[in-house]
Amino acid sequence: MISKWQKLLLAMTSVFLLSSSGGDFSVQEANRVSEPPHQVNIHFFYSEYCTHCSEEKVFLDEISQDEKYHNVSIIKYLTDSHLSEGGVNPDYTRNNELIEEVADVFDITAGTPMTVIGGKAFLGFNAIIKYSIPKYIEKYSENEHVDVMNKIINEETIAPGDIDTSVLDIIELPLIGIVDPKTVSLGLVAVVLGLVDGFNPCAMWVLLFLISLLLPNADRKRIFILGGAFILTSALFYFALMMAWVNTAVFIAGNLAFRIIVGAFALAAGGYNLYQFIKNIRQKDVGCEVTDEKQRVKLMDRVRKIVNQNKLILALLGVIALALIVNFIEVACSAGLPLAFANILAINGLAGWSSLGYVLLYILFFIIDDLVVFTIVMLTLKIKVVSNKIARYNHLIGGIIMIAIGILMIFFPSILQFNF
Amino acid sequence: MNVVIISAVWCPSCLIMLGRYHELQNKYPNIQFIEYDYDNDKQAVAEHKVWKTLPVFIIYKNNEEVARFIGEKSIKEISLKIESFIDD
Repeated sequence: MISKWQKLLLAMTSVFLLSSSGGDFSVQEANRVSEPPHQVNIHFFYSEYCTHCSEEKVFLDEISQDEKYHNVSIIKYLTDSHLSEGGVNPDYTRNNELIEEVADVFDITAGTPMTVIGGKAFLGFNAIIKYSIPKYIEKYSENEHVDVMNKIINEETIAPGDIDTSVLDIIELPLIGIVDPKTVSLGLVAVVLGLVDGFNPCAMWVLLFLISLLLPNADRKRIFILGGAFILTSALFYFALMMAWVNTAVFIAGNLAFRIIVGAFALAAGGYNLYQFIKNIRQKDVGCEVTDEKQRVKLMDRVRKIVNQNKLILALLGVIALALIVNFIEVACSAGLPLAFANILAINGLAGWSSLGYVLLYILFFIIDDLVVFTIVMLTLKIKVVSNKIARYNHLIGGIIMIAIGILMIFFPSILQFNF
Repeated sequence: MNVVIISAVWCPSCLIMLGRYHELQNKYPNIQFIEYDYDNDKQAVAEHKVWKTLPVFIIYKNNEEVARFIGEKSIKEISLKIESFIDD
């Protein structure tokens, strides 16, 4: 049974923690808090003689020192009969009674290390538990929850709903470690869509033209600054476009009408890509189609003026403006792939910082062909390009992906949420 | 025999074909190779009747067009054609 001393200590801890977060305190309310971020208590049962306990202790010490976890308290329960510094452990009996009760409540074997957070208990310490603890801290910080350990200490009845039966969708792969299938799926979608979008050669011709005019002087510094500025501005333009869309779409992604409109747009864009593929495949010659002569000549004149600028800063500003104009004109050429991806992020509830990594991954693979061409130019002062045959199959792959996204968005949006 | 190529610096297929064109130039030193830029040599482009797809690779024999390749073609394919006219 739990001694009065233990109850007093826990009550005092709770008073301190709740008062420091500005909350009102009563003993009955000790296990429920109201204002987010909610107070999260980690109850850690350990032995000085167990290796996994030492590993977890180091891990929990890191958490306690991390400012991000300012709302987290770690309460330790030593289960050994003697203290490491010598002498008898005064809490030996109490802590061992407590661990037996916890094991009973959670229907697990009593053993160390054992960790109780909210309604969740972990026995042992491994990569999955190491990954899970911060996830549950995050979950309980955001949501009001029951601290089952406090209930046990206060000898309150544990309701079936107090136990957290949720399981994290994670798997441990050899060599790779812990993998969240949802993260991997979204990451993979970012890579595939970014690559397909990137190999669409719409804006590439301007970069090639710019480099071809810079090459005769063989001024690597000038090529690096102007070529790099063109690619970087293109990337930033796409980044701004996608972030703006994802941050807008996240509020309306759940709306059926919106989903149908976006899905229909994806189907139309996919259909257009397939039409382009069929049209190209009928032509036996793979080459560059001369289209929109007037606009091309206009852009080429602009590039010539930029390259002929004596002052590098003026040329740089010209290139930045050129990249913005080209990407603005050519965004339709991407046939909605960046917007479709931003929409997938939105229906997964990812916006702001949480979508940043995926958007950056998309853009990295979007500009990877430009980066390869540019790197080769910088190293060899020669232009090496990828055959237009790839662009032909790009239409096929892009078309199929967009049609699949359109169908999923309209009829099976849960699949795009990757909830396995 | 003359060989004419019409290409553009902004066209990836042209850049690929220019590399092959220069290889052919080395392979057939007795053939005259003429290179035109689609944007800078408007008159030549019109004379050689270049339409919508680049690059264009034309073989002339006795001032008459005997073969035309449009787009990306392999060196082998063009070589075979050139050699068929050399043997004539």
